Amino acid sequence: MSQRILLGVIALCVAALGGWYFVRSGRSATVEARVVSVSQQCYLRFERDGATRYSKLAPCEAAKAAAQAAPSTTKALRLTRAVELLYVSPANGAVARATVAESTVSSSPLKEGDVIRIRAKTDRAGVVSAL
Amino acid sequence: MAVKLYAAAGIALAMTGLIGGVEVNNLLNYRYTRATVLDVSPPKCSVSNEKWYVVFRRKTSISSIDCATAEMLVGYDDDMKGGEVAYDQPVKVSYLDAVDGKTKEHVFHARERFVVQPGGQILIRTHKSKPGVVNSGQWTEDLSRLAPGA
Repeated sequence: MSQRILLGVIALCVAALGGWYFVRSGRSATVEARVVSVSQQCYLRFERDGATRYSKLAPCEAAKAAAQAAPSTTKALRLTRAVELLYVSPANGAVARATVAESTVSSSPLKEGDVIRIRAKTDRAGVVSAL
Repeated sequence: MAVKLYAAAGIALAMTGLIGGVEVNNLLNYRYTRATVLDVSPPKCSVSNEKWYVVFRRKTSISSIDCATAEMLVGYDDDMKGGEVAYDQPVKVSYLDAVDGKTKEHVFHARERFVVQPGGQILIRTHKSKPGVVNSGQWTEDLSRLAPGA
């Protein structure tokens, strides 16, 4: 009997903590966002002595040249596509911008002028995520 | 078995009580106050990601990284794909403290992308009776949360 009570207490606490986490993580709404630009850039990923480092984003030609000039180490060139999104934030009704990786919001290539659906937080204007 | 159950119940109760206490304190003792953004410093970012390999977890993180790069890592990097970007962006605001009627400045660190420009308004949580006390993590850009007449 006491074991059932203890299990009930644990279940109630877990439910309360889960509810708290849900509320605190913030509600979000589905909004339409317009792609205002798509830019292609590269970065270098270096691995040396078990540690990974990253270069800043750069035009791919410059990153390729830097990769060839860099001293011998394990390096990889990564191509990225950044999309700048324009959307009306449900948090304040104002127009907001966010730049995110294309692959996080769409499985197919986007182009300028496309309209996609994303999730935007209802209390903070800049926080967006994929559907 | 029973001892383990008592311990688990105790830990669960303690955690719930602690978090509940903090939340009740925030709810009862703090209120939303309109604040004007004075300055937004350039952000620093960190990225973290967790990958599960059947039974063990590998956590990868990198701190103090350019935010534009961080946003791309979670989309394209072998280790970071699907991870989370955490911003650290100091934001300076000014607000009228209703406790003592003085205008004050406060700096908090936005942990998410902050898009309000200087001159814009947000809501922060200020203490109802202690002047100058702000609950830094509780800001919002949703101005409709301000109590009528505040």
